[in-house]
Amino acid sequence: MGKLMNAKEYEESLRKLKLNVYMFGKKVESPVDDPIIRPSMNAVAATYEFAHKPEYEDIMTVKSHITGKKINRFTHIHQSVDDLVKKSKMGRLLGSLTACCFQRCVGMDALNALSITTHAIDAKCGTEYNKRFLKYLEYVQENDLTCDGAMTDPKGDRSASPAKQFDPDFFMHVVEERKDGIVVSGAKAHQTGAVNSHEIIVMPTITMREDDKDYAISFALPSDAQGITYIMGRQSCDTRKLEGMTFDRGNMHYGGHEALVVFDKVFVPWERVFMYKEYEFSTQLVENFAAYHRQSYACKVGVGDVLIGAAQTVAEYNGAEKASHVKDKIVEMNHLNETLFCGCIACAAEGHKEPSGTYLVDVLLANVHKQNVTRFPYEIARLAQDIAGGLMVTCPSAADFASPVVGKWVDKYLKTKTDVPTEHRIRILRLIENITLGTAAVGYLTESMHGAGSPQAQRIMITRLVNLKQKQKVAKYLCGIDKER
Amino acid sequence: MRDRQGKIKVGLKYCGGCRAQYDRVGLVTTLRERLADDVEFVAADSEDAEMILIVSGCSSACTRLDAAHDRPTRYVTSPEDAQRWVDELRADMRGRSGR
Repeated sequence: MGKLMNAKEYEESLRKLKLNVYMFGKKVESPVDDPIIRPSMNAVAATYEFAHKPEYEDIMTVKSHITGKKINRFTHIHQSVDDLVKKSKMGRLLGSLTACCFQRCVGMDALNALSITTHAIDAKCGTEYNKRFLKYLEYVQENDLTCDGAMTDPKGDRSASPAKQFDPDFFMHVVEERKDGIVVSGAKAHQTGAVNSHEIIVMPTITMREDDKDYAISFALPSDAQGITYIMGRQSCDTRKLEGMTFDRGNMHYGGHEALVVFDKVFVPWERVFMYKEYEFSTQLVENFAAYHRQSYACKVGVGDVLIGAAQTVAEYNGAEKASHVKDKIVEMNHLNETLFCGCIACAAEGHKEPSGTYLVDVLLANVHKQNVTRFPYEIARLAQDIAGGLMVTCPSAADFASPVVGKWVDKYLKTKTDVPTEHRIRILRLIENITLGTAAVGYLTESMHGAGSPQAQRIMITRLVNLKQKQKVAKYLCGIDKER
Repeated sequence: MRDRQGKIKVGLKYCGGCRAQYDRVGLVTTLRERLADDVEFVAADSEDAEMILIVSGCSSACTRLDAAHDRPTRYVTSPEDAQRWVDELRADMRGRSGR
């Protein structure tokens, strides 16, 4: 076994990092202990904790194809279709246990995409990127590291290519080439779990042309490398976490986070550079990463599991669970959620082996799955809010509930049944609020819309990959337009 | 391999539990209590295990063991299926003891 960290060891490993983090305009001295960031750290820690539990280890751990040692699946390169299927199942499992984004899939997807592209560059260009990459991968596996897969540049003016931007830093680029490495500047936006990561793996964000070759770079750095600054994104209702452990936070244990990550003349040694100006391979890297990451939205099925459970619970608390329309809404939520599960299993089951030996999902089906994810969670959330009722957004605070003056009125008038404590009713409503319009809605809804590419990105891929001519050919034969198949 | 009390050593393995249809851990707790006189549950990779019991949360039973192992393997995919395994085990034990 390599170093299969547990949750406590993971937390301690983060404490050793010297991250340069800013939030609300101030430097965060200890991100691990910050009340707003800590729930997101807990969610990543869960990926370590559950790897040690016998009832989850079959999904959470796997044998390394490099060392033969038992490793956390989040550091694994998929070696079979079964690995791809298990990855989808792991997403659902962790979503169903945390009800939030657990942040670690993006690094796994970056590693797998790079395992394919470094091999492809070497085959054509005679470089040694794959050898470098495998050495890095072994380091990640042996130390059970969390990696941030950083793809999305700020992009500036969308009508201009990287080289044509008025500010060259709108896309990550090389500013200096040295004997021992390169110096880069730029930024990566929307970086999920960045502050909870040991490493940051940078990839180009779009197809690069020859003019853009200074932007066609991929590399990995320790997350606390000199010159990297993290500026935390804020979330709806985030400051409720500053009110202490009150039930107004909805999810008492877990959360997610994103950050804008700025690279200000950061040095990268050559042994950590995996693509350097080979612009013709940028498309492959972007599309494979996107396909893997679109599969990763299996996690939303797990979050959906929790939301459905919460909706059923509040229906029972309200005494409405036997109403036919409520039962039908619960059925609809399950139907949509399991349909999402079908997609992430299908793209994995139809996966294939790449020349590098890495298994890649079916790209068309991964895009179809993610397209569904841009829609179904919104409908599931709408149905949950329908069942929950308006109290979800008009309910007095935990402080009012605890008030010696008005607490008795809150308790009296929000009670539904003698065997349901009012506090329980409020807690379950706050969880639904958290997932559908609070901090976790960042992950369950808007991330479902834009993460791993906005809806139009999937529609472009679907258009490209579907065999429309064949469909027309059969249609024309069957209706007699064509005489031969 | 039997221990000194003549108990069967059963290697226990869970599936990953991505959409378990019942409480797998609860089922195993019940099995441990009910079979306390006859079975000692050990880790699935224990060399002492006479057979392997894989507790699967659903009928897909997707857990695969290392192909190198040569012990009999039984999947249970529901509490009802677990009861069938208990019945089979007890019948086998009666056969071996000549009762």
